[in-house]
Amino acid sequence: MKIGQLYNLNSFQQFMDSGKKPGFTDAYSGTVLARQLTAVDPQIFEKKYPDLAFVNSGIVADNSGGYARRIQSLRKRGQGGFTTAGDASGNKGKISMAGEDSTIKVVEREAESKWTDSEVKEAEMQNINLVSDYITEHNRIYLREVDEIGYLGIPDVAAREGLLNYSGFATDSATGAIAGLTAQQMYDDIAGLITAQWNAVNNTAEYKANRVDMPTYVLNTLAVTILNTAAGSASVLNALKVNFPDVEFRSTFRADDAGGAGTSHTVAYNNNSEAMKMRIPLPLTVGEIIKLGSFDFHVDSKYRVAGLDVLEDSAGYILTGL
Amino acid sequence: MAFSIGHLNDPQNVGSGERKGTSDLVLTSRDFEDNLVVGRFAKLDTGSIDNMDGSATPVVAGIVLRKVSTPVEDGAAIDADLYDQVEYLREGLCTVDVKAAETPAQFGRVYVSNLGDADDGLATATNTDIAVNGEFIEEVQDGVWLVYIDLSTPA
Repeated sequence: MKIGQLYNLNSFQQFMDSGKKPGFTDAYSGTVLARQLTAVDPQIFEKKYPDLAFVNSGIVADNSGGYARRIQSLRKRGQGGFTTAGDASGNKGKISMAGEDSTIKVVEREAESKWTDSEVKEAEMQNINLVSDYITEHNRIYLREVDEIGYLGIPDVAAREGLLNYSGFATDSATGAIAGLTAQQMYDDIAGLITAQWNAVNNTAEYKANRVDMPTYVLNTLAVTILNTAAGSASVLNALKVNFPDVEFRSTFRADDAGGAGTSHTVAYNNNSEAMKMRIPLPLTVGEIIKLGSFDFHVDSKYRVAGLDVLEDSAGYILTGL
Repeated sequence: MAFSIGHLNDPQNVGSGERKGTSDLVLTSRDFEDNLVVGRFAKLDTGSIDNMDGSATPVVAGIVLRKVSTPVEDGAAIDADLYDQVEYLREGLCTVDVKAAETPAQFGRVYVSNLGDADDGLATATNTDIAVNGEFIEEVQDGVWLVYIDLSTPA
Protein backbone atom coordinates (compact mmCIF):
# COMPACT_ATOMS: atom_id res chain seq x y z
CA MET A 1 0.00 0.00 0.00
CA LYS A 2 1.07 3.51 -0.69
CA ILE A 3 1.40 6.06 2.09
CA GLY A 4 -1.01 8.33 0.18
CA GLN A 5 -3.70 5.70 0.48
CA LEU A 6 -3.32 5.37 4.23
CA TYR A 7 -3.07 9.08 5.11
CA ASN A 8 -4.63 12.25 3.79
CA LEU A 9 -1.34 13.99 3.10
CA ASN A 10 -3.05 17.25 2.12
CA SER A 11 -4.54 17.59 5.55
CA PHE A 12 -1.12 17.16 7.15
CA GLN A 13 0.23 19.96 4.97
CA GLN A 14 -2.71 22.22 5.88
CA PHE A 15 -2.16 21.45 9.56
CA MET A 16 1.48 22.57 9.28
CA ASP A 17 0.53 25.69 7.37
CA SER A 18 -2.12 26.64 9.93
CA GLY A 19 0.58 27.20 12.54
CA LYS A 20 2.08 29.96 10.40
CA LYS A 21 -1.17 31.93 10.05
CA PRO A 22 -1.66 34.98 12.27
CA GLY A 23 -4.23 34.16 15.00
CA PHE A 24 -7.34 36.12 15.86
CA THR A 25 -5.86 37.83 18.89
CA ASP A 26 -7.76 41.03 19.53
CA ALA A 27 -9.49 41.34 22.92
CA TYR A 28 -12.88 42.69 21.91
CA SER A 29 -15.97 41.23 23.61
CA GLY A 30 -18.30 38.78 21.97
CA THR A 31 -21.72 39.63 20.67
CA VAL A 32 -24.08 37.84 23.07
CA LEU A 33 -25.58 38.90 26.37
CA ALA A 34 -24.75 36.48 29.17
CA ARG A 35 -28.42 36.02 30.04
CA GLN A 36 -29.07 34.75 26.51
CA LEU A 37 -26.64 31.90 27.14
CA THR A 38 -28.83 30.81 30.05
CA ALA A 39 -32.10 29.06 29.30
CA VAL A 40 -34.72 29.62 31.97
CA ASP A 41 -36.95 26.64 32.63
CA PRO A 42 -40.51 27.90 32.05
CA GLN A 43 -41.74 25.67 34.85
CA ILE A 44 -41.66 27.62 38.10
CA PHE A 45 -41.07 25.04 40.79
CA GLU A 46 -42.93 25.27 44.03
CA LYS A 47 -41.86 23.89 47.40
CA LYS A 48 -43.96 20.89 48.32
CA TYR A 49 -44.87 19.80 51.82
CA PRO A 50 -46.07 16.57 53.44
CA ASP A 51 -49.78 15.80 53.35
CA LEU A 52 -52.06 17.23 55.98
CA ALA A 53 -53.24 14.17 57.83
CA PHE A 54 -55.33 15.96 60.43
CA VAL A 55 -57.45 17.75 57.87
CA ASN A 56 -58.36 14.30 56.50
CA SER A 57 -58.78 12.61 59.89
CA GLY A 58 -62.56 12.67 59.76
CA ILE A 59 -62.70 14.75 62.94
CA VAL A 60 -65.60 17.15 62.53
CA ALA A 61 -64.61 20.77 61.96
CA ASP A 62 -67.26 22.70 63.85
CA ASN A 63 -67.78 26.26 62.62
CA SER A 64 -70.36 27.22 65.23
CA GLY A 65 -69.60 30.07 67.59
CA GLY A 66 -68.62 32.82 65.18
CA TYR A 67 -67.16 35.64 67.18
CA ALA A 68 -67.75 34.12 70.64
CA ARG A 69 -64.80 34.28 73.01
CA ARG A 70 -65.31 30.76 74.26
CA ILE A 71 -67.40 27.76 73.37
CA GLN A 72 -69.29 25.80 75.95
CA SER A 73 -70.59 22.30 75.39
CA LEU A 74 -73.28 20.51 77.36
CA ARG A 75 -73.51 16.76 77.77
CA LYS A 76 -76.55 15.24 79.41
CA ARG A 77 -76.98 11.87 81.01
CA GLY A 78 -79.73 10.03 82.75
CA GLN A 79 -79.25 8.87 86.30
CA GLY A 80 -81.00 6.92 88.98
CA GLY A 81 -82.61 3.51 88.80
CA PHE A 82 -85.39 1.17 89.81
CA THR A 83 -85.79 -0.44 93.19
CA THR A 84 -87.99 -3.25 94.30
CA ALA A 85 -91.19 -1.58 95.53
CA GLY A 86 -94.93 -1.79 95.43
CA ASP A 87 -97.43 0.54 93.84
CA ALA A 88 -98.10 2.54 96.99
CA SER A 89 -94.55 2.61 98.40
CA GLY A 90 -92.73 5.84 98.88
CA ASN A 91 -89.28 4.36 98.46
CA LYS A 92 -89.47 3.58 94.77
CA GLY A 93 -86.42 4.14 92.69
CA LYS A 94 -86.02 7.53 91.02
CA ILE A 95 -84.89 8.44 87.55
CA SER A 96 -83.66 11.92 86.80
CA MET A 97 -81.36 13.81 84.49
CA ALA A 98 -77.97 15.42 85.00
CA GLY A 99 -75.66 17.45 82.87
CA GLU A 100 -72.03 18.52 82.65
CA ASP A 101 -70.33 21.25 80.71
CA SER A 102 -67.03 21.78 79.03
CA THR A 103 -65.57 25.03 77.76
CA ILE A 104 -62.77 25.90 75.41
CA LYS A 105 -61.41 29.36 74.63
CA VAL A 106 -61.38 30.83 71.16
CA VAL A 107 -58.27 32.53 69.79
CA GLU A 108 -58.22 34.93 66.87
CA ARG A 109 -55.32 34.64 64.45
CA GLU A 110 -54.44 37.12 61.73
CA ALA A 111 -51.85 37.63 59.02
CA GLU A 112 -51.19 40.40 56.54
CA SER A 113 -49.56 40.81 53.16
CA LYS A 114 -48.34 43.96 51.50
CA TRP A 115 -47.36 44.66 47.94
CA THR A 116 -46.93 47.52 45.56
CA ASP A 117 -48.04 47.92 41.98
CA SER A 118 -44.43 47.84 40.76
CA GLU A 119 -43.78 44.58 42.60
CA VAL A 120 -46.83 42.99 40.98
CA LYS A 121 -45.78 44.13 37.52
CA GLU A 122 -42.17 43.08 38.06
CA ALA A 123 -43.30 39.65 39.24
CA GLU A 124 -45.48 39.38 36.13
CA MET A 125 -42.30 39.62 34.08
CA GLN A 126 -41.37 36.28 35.67
CA ASN A 127 -44.89 34.92 35.05
CA ILE A 128 -45.64 35.10 38.77
CA ASN A 129 -49.07 36.29 39.77
CA LEU A 130 -48.07 37.86 43.05
CA VAL A 131 -51.50 38.75 44.43
CA SER A 132 -52.93 35.35 43.59
CA ASP A 133 -49.89 33.66 45.13
CA TYR A 134 -50.26 35.68 48.31
CA ILE A 135 -53.85 34.57 48.75
CA THR A 136 -52.92 30.99 47.88
CA GLU A 137 -50.28 31.05 50.60
CA HIS A 138 -52.68 32.55 53.12
CA ASN A 139 -54.86 29.50 52.51
CA ARG A 140 -52.01 26.99 52.46
CA ILE A 141 -50.46 28.28 55.67
CA TYR A 142 -53.89 28.42 57.30
CA LEU A 143 -54.48 24.75 56.52
CA ARG A 144 -51.04 23.79 57.81
CA GLU A 145 -51.70 25.75 61.01
CA VAL A 146 -55.00 23.95 61.46
CA ASP A 147 -53.13 20.68 61.02
CA GLU A 148 -50.54 21.68 63.60
CA ILE A 149 -53.13 22.99 66.04
CA GLY A 150 -55.14 19.80 65.67
CA TYR A 151 -52.21 17.49 66.26
CA LEU A 152 -49.95 19.40 68.64
CA GLY A 153 -51.60 22.66 69.56
CA ILE A 154 -49.74 25.94 69.40
CA PRO A 155 -49.08 28.54 72.08
CA ASP A 156 -52.30 30.33 73.07
CA VAL A 157 -54.55 27.68 71.54
CA ALA A 158 -56.03 24.78 73.54
CA ALA A 159 -53.26 24.92 76.14
CA ARG A 160 -50.79 23.87 73.43
CA GLU A 161 -52.33 20.45 73.22
CA GLY A 162 -53.67 18.49 70.31
CA LEU A 163 -54.54 14.95 69.39
CA LEU A 164 -50.98 13.68 69.83
CA ASN A 165 -50.20 15.29 73.16
CA TYR A 166 -53.55 15.80 74.86
CA SER A 167 -52.96 15.41 78.59
CA GLY A 168 -56.38 13.88 79.21
CA PHE A 169 -55.66 10.77 77.13
CA ALA A 170 -54.25 7.70 78.87
CA THR A 171 -50.64 7.10 77.88
CA ASP A 172 -48.52 4.00 77.54
CA SER A 173 -44.91 3.47 76.52
CA ALA A 174 -43.87 1.38 73.54
CA THR A 175 -41.62 -1.63 73.96
CA GLY A 176 -38.95 0.41 72.20
CA ALA A 177 -38.17 2.41 69.11
CA ILE A 178 -39.61 0.81 65.99
CA ALA A 179 -36.17 0.18 64.49
CA GLY A 180 -35.23 -2.16 67.35
CA LEU A 181 -38.46 -4.16 67.51
CA THR A 182 -39.23 -7.56 66.07
CA ALA A 183 -42.21 -7.84 63.75
CA GLN A 184 -44.22 -9.50 66.49
CA GLN A 185 -43.36 -6.73 68.94
CA MET A 186 -44.46 -4.11 66.41
CA TYR A 187 -47.75 -5.89 65.95
CA ASP A 188 -48.22 -6.36 69.67
CA ASP A 189 -47.51 -2.71 70.46
CA ILE A 190 -50.06 -1.34 67.98
CA ALA A 191 -52.63 -4.06 68.64
CA GLY A 192 -52.13 -3.57 72.38
CA LEU A 193 -52.73 0.17 72.01
CA ILE A 194 -56.03 -0.37 70.20
CA THR A 195 -57.14 -3.10 72.57
CA ALA A 196 -56.30 -1.03 75.64
CA GLN A 197 -58.35 1.87 74.27
CA TRP A 198 -61.25 -0.37 73.33
CA ASN A 199 -61.21 -2.00 76.75
CA ALA A 200 -61.18 1.39 78.45
CA VAL A 201 -64.44 2.38 76.76
CA ASN A 202 -65.99 -1.08 76.79
CA ASN A 203 -66.33 -0.97 73.02
CA THR A 204 -68.73 1.99 73.16
CA ALA A 205 -69.23 2.69 69.48
CA GLU A 206 -68.86 6.48 69.70
CA TYR A 207 -65.67 6.33 71.77
CA LYS A 208 -64.01 3.17 70.46
CA ALA A 209 -60.92 4.01 68.37
CA ASN A 210 -61.41 3.87 64.64
CA ARG A 211 -58.18 5.65 63.70
CA VAL A 212 -54.55 5.19 64.65
CA ASP A 213 -52.24 8.05 63.70
CA MET A 214 -48.54 7.30 63.96
CA PRO A 215 -45.20 8.72 62.80
CA THR A 216 -44.53 8.32 59.08
CA TYR A 217 -41.47 6.16 59.69
CA VAL A 218 -43.52 3.82 61.87
CA LEU A 219 -46.22 3.33 59.24
CA ASN A 220 -43.60 2.88 56.53
CA THR A 221 -41.82 0.26 58.64
CA LEU A 222 -45.04 -1.59 59.46
CA ALA A 223 -45.88 -1.69 55.75
CA VAL A 224 -42.62 -3.38 54.73
CA THR A 225 -41.94 -5.64 57.70
CA ILE A 226 -43.21 -9.17 57.19
CA LEU A 227 -44.96 -10.45 60.28
CA ASN A 228 -43.88 -14.05 59.90
CA THR A 229 -41.70 -14.98 56.96
CA ALA A 230 -42.49 -18.65 57.47
CA ALA A 231 -46.20 -18.03 57.16
CA GLY A 232 -46.36 -15.90 54.03
CA SER A 233 -45.62 -12.42 52.82
CA ALA A 234 -48.19 -10.48 54.86
CA SER A 235 -46.79 -7.36 56.47
CA VAL A 236 -47.39 -6.24 60.02
CA LEU A 237 -49.62 -3.49 58.67
CA ASN A 238 -51.59 -5.98 56.64
CA ALA A 239 -52.15 -8.14 59.69
CA LEU A 240 -53.33 -5.13 61.68
CA LYS A 241 -55.74 -4.15 58.92
CA VAL A 242 -57.15 -7.64 58.70
CA ASN A 243 -57.59 -8.03 62.44
CA PHE A 244 -58.89 -4.48 63.00
CA PRO A 245 -61.05 -3.94 59.90
CA ASP A 246 -62.80 -0.90 61.37
CA VAL A 247 -59.56 0.92 62.14
CA GLU A 248 -57.76 3.15 59.66
CA PHE A 249 -53.99 3.37 60.05
CA ARG A 250 -52.55 6.74 59.09
CA SER A 251 -49.34 8.67 59.48
CA THR A 252 -48.19 12.21 60.10
CA PHE A 253 -44.73 13.74 60.37
CA ARG A 254 -45.97 15.69 63.39
CA ALA A 255 -45.94 12.45 65.39
CA ASP A 256 -42.23 11.90 64.68
CA ASP A 257 -39.57 12.31 67.32
CA ALA A 258 -38.76 15.70 65.88
CA GLY A 259 -42.35 16.49 64.95
CA GLY A 260 -42.99 18.63 67.96
CA ALA A 261 -43.80 16.48 70.96
CA GLY A 262 -40.20 15.44 71.63
CA THR A 263 -40.63 11.68 71.47
CA SER A 264 -42.78 9.92 68.93
CA HIS A 265 -46.46 9.82 69.73
CA THR A 266 -48.92 7.33 68.28
CA VAL A 267 -52.57 7.89 69.09
CA ALA A 268 -55.62 5.68 68.79
CA TYR A 269 -58.84 7.70 68.76
CA ASN A 270 -62.39 7.87 67.60
CA ASN A 271 -63.26 10.72 65.25
CA ASN A 272 -66.93 10.76 66.21
CA SER A 273 -68.26 14.22 67.11
CA GLU A 274 -69.41 12.81 70.47
CA ALA A 275 -65.74 12.19 71.27
CA MET A 276 -63.98 15.24 69.85
CA LYS A 277 -64.42 18.20 67.53
CA MET A 278 -62.05 20.59 65.84
CA ARG A 279 -63.45 23.99 66.66
CA ILE A 280 -62.88 26.68 64.06
CA PRO A 281 -65.65 29.16 64.88
CA LEU A 282 -64.61 31.45 62.05
CA PRO A 283 -62.93 29.76 59.10
CA LEU A 284 -60.35 31.61 57.05
CA THR A 285 -61.71 34.99 56.04
CA VAL A 286 -59.77 37.14 53.62
CA GLY A 287 -60.42 40.85 54.05
CA GLU A 288 -60.67 43.54 51.43
CA ILE A 289 -57.57 44.76 49.69
CA ILE A 290 -56.80 48.13 51.20
CA LYS A 291 -54.98 50.77 49.22
CA LEU A 292 -52.49 52.56 51.44
CA GLY A 293 -51.63 54.70 48.43
CA SER A 294 -52.63 54.57 44.79
CA PHE A 295 -50.04 51.85 44.18
CA ASP A 296 -49.49 50.49 47.68
CA PHE A 297 -51.71 47.60 48.80
CA HIS A 298 -52.44 45.70 51.98
CA VAL A 299 -54.64 42.71 52.77
CA ASP A 300 -55.41 40.95 56.04
CA SER A 301 -56.81 37.51 56.63
CA LYS A 302 -58.02 35.99 59.84
CA TYR A 303 -59.61 32.98 61.41
CA ARG A 304 -60.80 32.09 64.88
CA VAL A 305 -59.86 28.76 66.36
CA ALA A 306 -60.35 27.01 69.66
CA GLY A 307 -58.39 23.92 68.72
CA LEU A 308 -59.20 20.29 69.30
CA ASP A 309 -62.05 20.08 71.76
CA VAL A 310 -61.78 16.64 73.32
CA LEU A 311 -65.19 15.94 74.78
CA GLU A 312 -64.48 12.45 76.06
CA ASP A 313 -61.01 11.80 77.43
CA SER A 314 -61.28 8.04 77.14
CA ALA A 315 -61.84 8.34 73.36
CA GLY A 316 -58.09 8.54 72.82
CA TYR A 317 -55.05 6.57 73.92
CA ILE A 318 -51.43 7.52 73.34
CA LEU A 319 -48.42 5.28 72.83
CA THR A 320 -45.08 7.07 73.16
CA GLY A 321 -41.57 6.20 72.08
CA LEU A 322 -42.35 3.95 69.11
CA MET B 1 -28.16 20.89 40.92
CA ALA B 2 -30.76 20.98 43.66
CA PHE B 3 -32.28 24.07 45.19
CA SER B 4 -30.58 25.04 48.40
CA ILE B 5 -33.47 24.64 50.80
CA GLY B 6 -34.10 20.97 51.45
CA HIS B 7 -37.05 19.16 52.84
CA LEU B 8 -39.32 21.19 55.08
CA ASN B 9 -42.38 20.09 56.95
CA ASP B 10 -44.04 23.50 57.06
CA PRO B 11 -43.41 26.89 55.46
CA GLN B 12 -40.81 28.99 57.23
CA ASN B 13 -41.56 32.33 58.80
CA VAL B 14 -40.72 35.52 56.98
CA GLY B 15 -37.19 36.81 57.16
CA SER B 16 -35.82 40.27 57.75
CA GLY B 17 -36.65 43.54 56.01
CA GLU B 18 -40.42 42.97 56.00
CA ARG B 19 -42.43 46.00 57.01
CA LYS B 20 -45.50 45.38 59.11
CA GLY B 21 -48.52 47.34 60.23
CA THR B 22 -50.01 50.34 58.47
CA SER B 23 -48.33 53.28 60.16
CA ASP B 24 -44.79 53.04 58.86
CA LEU B 25 -42.59 55.88 57.74
CA VAL B 26 -40.74 54.61 54.69
CA LEU B 27 -38.19 56.82 52.94
CA THR B 28 -36.54 56.45 49.56
CA SER B 29 -32.96 57.31 48.76
CA ARG B 30 -31.47 57.71 45.31
CA ASP B 31 -27.93 57.54 46.65
CA PHE B 32 -26.95 54.23 48.16
CA GLU B 33 -23.99 51.91 48.37
CA ASP B 34 -23.85 49.05 45.88
CA ASN B 35 -24.75 45.74 47.57
CA LEU B 36 -26.67 47.45 50.35
CA VAL B 37 -27.91 44.63 52.56
CA VAL B 38 -31.65 44.18 53.11
CA GLY B 39 -32.96 43.56 56.62
CA ARG B 40 -30.11 45.30 58.40
CA PHE B 41 -29.58 48.79 59.71
CA ALA B 42 -27.95 51.20 57.28
CA LYS B 43 -26.27 54.53 57.94
CA LEU B 44 -26.34 57.90 56.23
CA ASP B 45 -22.84 58.68 55.01
CA THR B 46 -22.35 61.96 53.10
CA GLY B 47 -25.81 61.78 51.61
CA SER B 48 -25.68 58.11 50.75
CA ILE B 49 -27.40 55.16 52.44
CA ASP B 50 -24.52 52.79 53.15
CA ASN B 51 -23.91 49.53 54.96
CA MET B 52 -22.56 49.98 58.47
CA ASP B 53 -18.80 49.46 58.30
CA GLY B 54 -17.39 50.11 61.72
CA SER B 55 -16.60 53.78 61.18
CA ALA B 56 -17.08 55.89 64.28
CA THR B 57 -20.30 57.73 65.24
CA PRO B 58 -22.48 56.60 62.32
CA VAL B 59 -25.80 58.33 61.61
CA VAL B 60 -28.25 55.44 61.61
CA ALA B 61 -30.71 55.92 58.73
CA GLY B 62 -33.04 52.98 59.19
CA ILE B 63 -33.67 49.36 58.23
CA VAL B 64 -33.35 48.51 54.52
CA LEU B 65 -36.63 47.04 53.30
CA ARG B 66 -37.05 43.95 51.17
CA LYS B 67 -38.88 44.00 47.86
CA VAL B 68 -40.53 40.72 46.94
CA SER B 69 -39.69 41.19 43.26
CA THR B 70 -35.91 41.59 43.51
CA PRO B 71 -33.69 39.06 41.66
CA VAL B 72 -33.10 35.84 43.58
CA GLU B 73 -29.48 35.78 42.42
CA ASP B 74 -28.72 38.96 44.36
CA GLY B 75 -29.73 37.42 47.69
CA ALA B 76 -30.13 40.10 50.32
CA ALA B 77 -27.97 42.66 48.50
CA ILE B 78 -29.30 45.47 46.34
CA ASP B 79 -27.49 45.82 43.01
CA ALA B 80 -26.81 49.48 42.21
CA ASP B 81 -26.49 48.61 38.51
CA LEU B 82 -30.08 47.44 38.50
CA TYR B 83 -31.82 49.70 41.00
CA ASP B 84 -31.71 53.47 41.21
CA GLN B 85 -33.34 53.74 44.60
CA VAL B 86 -33.73 51.93 47.89
CA GLU B 87 -36.43 52.09 50.51
CA TYR B 88 -35.73 52.03 54.19
CA LEU B 89 -37.85 52.18 57.29
CA ARG B 90 -37.32 55.29 59.39
CA GLU B 91 -40.17 54.72 61.81
CA GLY B 92 -42.52 51.83 62.37
CA LEU B 93 -42.60 48.05 62.59
CA CYS B 94 -40.19 45.91 60.63
CA THR B 95 -38.34 42.61 60.87
CA VAL B 96 -34.57 42.78 61.29
CA ASP B 97 -31.71 40.31 61.45
CA VAL B 98 -30.21 39.87 64.90
CA LYS B 99 -26.56 39.11 65.55
CA ALA B 100 -25.82 35.52 66.55
CA ALA B 101 -25.70 34.77 70.28
CA GLU B 102 -27.64 37.93 71.12
CA THR B 103 -30.63 37.39 73.39
CA PRO B 104 -33.05 40.28 72.95
CA ALA B 105 -35.96 40.64 75.35
CA GLN B 106 -39.40 41.99 74.55
CA PHE B 107 -39.40 45.81 74.77
CA GLY B 108 -35.64 45.73 75.27
CA ARG B 109 -33.71 48.51 73.56
CA VAL B 110 -32.32 47.90 70.09
CA TYR B 111 -28.62 48.40 69.41
CA VAL B 112 -26.74 48.04 66.15
CA SER B 113 -23.52 46.13 65.64
CA ASN B 114 -20.81 48.36 64.13
CA LEU B 115 -17.49 46.67 64.84
CA GLY B 116 -16.21 46.60 61.27
CA ASP B 117 -16.89 42.90 60.73
CA ALA B 118 -19.43 40.71 58.95
CA ASP B 119 -22.04 41.46 61.60
CA ASP B 120 -22.20 45.20 60.94
CA GLY B 121 -25.78 46.45 60.73
CA LEU B 122 -27.28 43.54 62.65
CA ALA B 123 -29.47 44.34 65.63
CA THR B 124 -28.10 43.49 69.06
CA ALA B 125 -29.11 43.78 72.68
CA THR B 126 -25.61 44.84 73.75
CA ASN B 127 -25.52 48.30 75.27
CA THR B 128 -21.96 49.00 74.11
CA ASP B 129 -23.12 48.86 70.47
CA ILE B 130 -24.67 51.80 68.63
CA ALA B 131 -27.90 52.75 70.41
CA VAL B 132 -31.01 53.53 68.38
CA ASN B 133 -34.43 54.59 69.54
CA GLY B 134 -36.20 51.29 69.09
CA GLU B 135 -37.46 48.26 70.93
CA PHE B 136 -37.65 44.55 70.28
CA ILE B 137 -41.24 43.35 69.98
CA GLU B 138 -41.16 39.59 69.32
CA GLU B 139 -39.03 36.91 67.75
CA VAL B 140 -40.30 35.99 64.29
CA GLN B 141 -37.89 33.11 63.75
CA ASP B 142 -34.39 32.19 64.87
CA GLY B 143 -32.24 35.28 64.37
CA VAL B 144 -35.06 37.52 63.17
CA TRP B 145 -36.99 39.89 65.42
CA LEU B 146 -39.86 42.25 64.85
CA VAL B 147 -38.76 45.68 66.07
CA TYR B 148 -40.34 49.09 66.41
CA ILE B 149 -38.01 51.95 65.62
CA ASP B 150 -38.43 55.71 65.66
CA LEU B 151 -35.17 57.18 64.48
CA SER B 152 -36.44 60.74 64.53
CA THR B 153 -35.92 60.68 68.28
CA PRO B 154 -32.40 60.33 69.67
CA ALA B 155 -31.65 57.13 71.53
